[in-house]
Amino acid sequence: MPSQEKPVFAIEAINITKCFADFCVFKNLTLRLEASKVHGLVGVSSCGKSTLLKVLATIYPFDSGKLQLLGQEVDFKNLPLLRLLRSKIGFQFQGLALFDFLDVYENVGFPLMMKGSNMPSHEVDARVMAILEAVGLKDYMNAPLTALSGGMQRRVAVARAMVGSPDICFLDEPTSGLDPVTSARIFELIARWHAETKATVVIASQDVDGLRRVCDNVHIMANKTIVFSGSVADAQRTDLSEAKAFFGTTL
Amino acid sequence: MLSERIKNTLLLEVAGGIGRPFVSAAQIVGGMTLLQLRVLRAMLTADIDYDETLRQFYKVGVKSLAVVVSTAILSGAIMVIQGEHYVRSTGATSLVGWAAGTGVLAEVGPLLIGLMFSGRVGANNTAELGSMVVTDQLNALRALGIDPVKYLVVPRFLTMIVMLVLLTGVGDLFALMGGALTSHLLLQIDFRMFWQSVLDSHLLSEFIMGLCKGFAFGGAIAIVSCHFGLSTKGGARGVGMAVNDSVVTSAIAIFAVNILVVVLWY
Repeated sequence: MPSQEKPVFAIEAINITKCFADFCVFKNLTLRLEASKVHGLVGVSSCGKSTLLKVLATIYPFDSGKLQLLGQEVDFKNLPLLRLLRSKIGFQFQGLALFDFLDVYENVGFPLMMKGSNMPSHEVDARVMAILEAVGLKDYMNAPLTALSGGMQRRVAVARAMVGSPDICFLDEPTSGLDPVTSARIFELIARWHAETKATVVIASQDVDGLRRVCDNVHIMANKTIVFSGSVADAQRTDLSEAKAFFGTTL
Repeated sequence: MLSERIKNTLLLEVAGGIGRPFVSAAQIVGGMTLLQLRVLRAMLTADIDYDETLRQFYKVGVKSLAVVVSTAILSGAIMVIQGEHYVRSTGATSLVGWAAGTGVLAEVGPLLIGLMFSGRVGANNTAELGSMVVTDQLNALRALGIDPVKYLVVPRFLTMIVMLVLLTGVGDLFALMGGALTSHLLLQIDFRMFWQSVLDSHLLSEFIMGLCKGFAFGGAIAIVSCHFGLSTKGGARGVGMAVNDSVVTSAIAIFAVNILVVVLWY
């Protein structure tokens, strides 16, 4: 009988390469992310963090290498498996990617209503209201997206990524453009949500202070690959210049 | 040696210049064919999002009614105006209804309504899908395990076909009303005589052919507009180019499909 135990690594990317035409965003990149932990992904702007998240979330196919999610090898030709894996993933896009034809409530509830989970409407309602309360947008539930500020829209996107209680939640710059108070609130929400769900969370962010607060491990991306993986304390101790640039000083 | 290289480069440039449009056209036709097959496969398995389909019915049908009615009335009127000179010179007032009915029901009505529909609904559809592509909304659907073709394209395909058939029927009626009104005002032809002329002409076959054209135009506009919307690249400029390509290709497709329906019909 096969083991039903959770795999040690929620995500295992081995020697993966992703190129757009002649330009390779990363080459032979290997990254192992332990399950049920919060992982931070840092790197200078345009180093490929967003593309890496999209590859790990199976949104973009990769050119070569091997990717395992929740113990299953990703095969883009196996559509049922791909659909199953995607149903266990939450993703907050850097560009938000909210559905502009839906209001706040519908955007947040979309993953629950669309996944064919036959979730009763009262449960959908309860979950959506709870997450809207947590991100401070309960009073705006019926508002169209155009009525919200950029920061509020970002909170809607974070809420949408979390509402389905996914096994893996990818957050791409969840606090970009937010004031320090709201940023702190978002990181608190992430920490609280992770404590409740024990999901694997991957956060790509430039907000190093926020990452320090919530992450178990951090991964530094540079030169088209991952140059450091370890705990925040290890990142602060290492002599690696890229790590020093991000974690060398504390505020 | 150098002149040989220049000659080869020139030859390649010329060959490339001739071949590129064919490759591009083949890519467009191939892309649209694949999209059509995916849509048909989803429809065969009844894998349709009914909420989105209803939303599209309202958006496409109800909101297109005014533009279709005004186009139809004017197209009926223009048929009578074109024939005014001959009717006056021959005194064949009893044939006005037949002339207007034949032209409107079989050809001018569906064609003009199809072109208006393509300009309004098709262009809007390409812009909407293109904007969704450039703002990652399509990737968001994929990330949620939702197939964008099933969720976005199938409802639009069904809606455009059904609504264009219905709008063509409604448009035919208003086109004849436009023709009746114009012939009354220009040629002082009695309304009853005009309608009697239409009924005596046995135009059922033309009417059904017009509806078939509406069906075929609706499918063509849906596939063309969705293909260009989903193929959008870049930002706002890319959306603009996609809309432009979609409108031009839809117009060509409408004329090509029109010929095909007429050839098959007769």
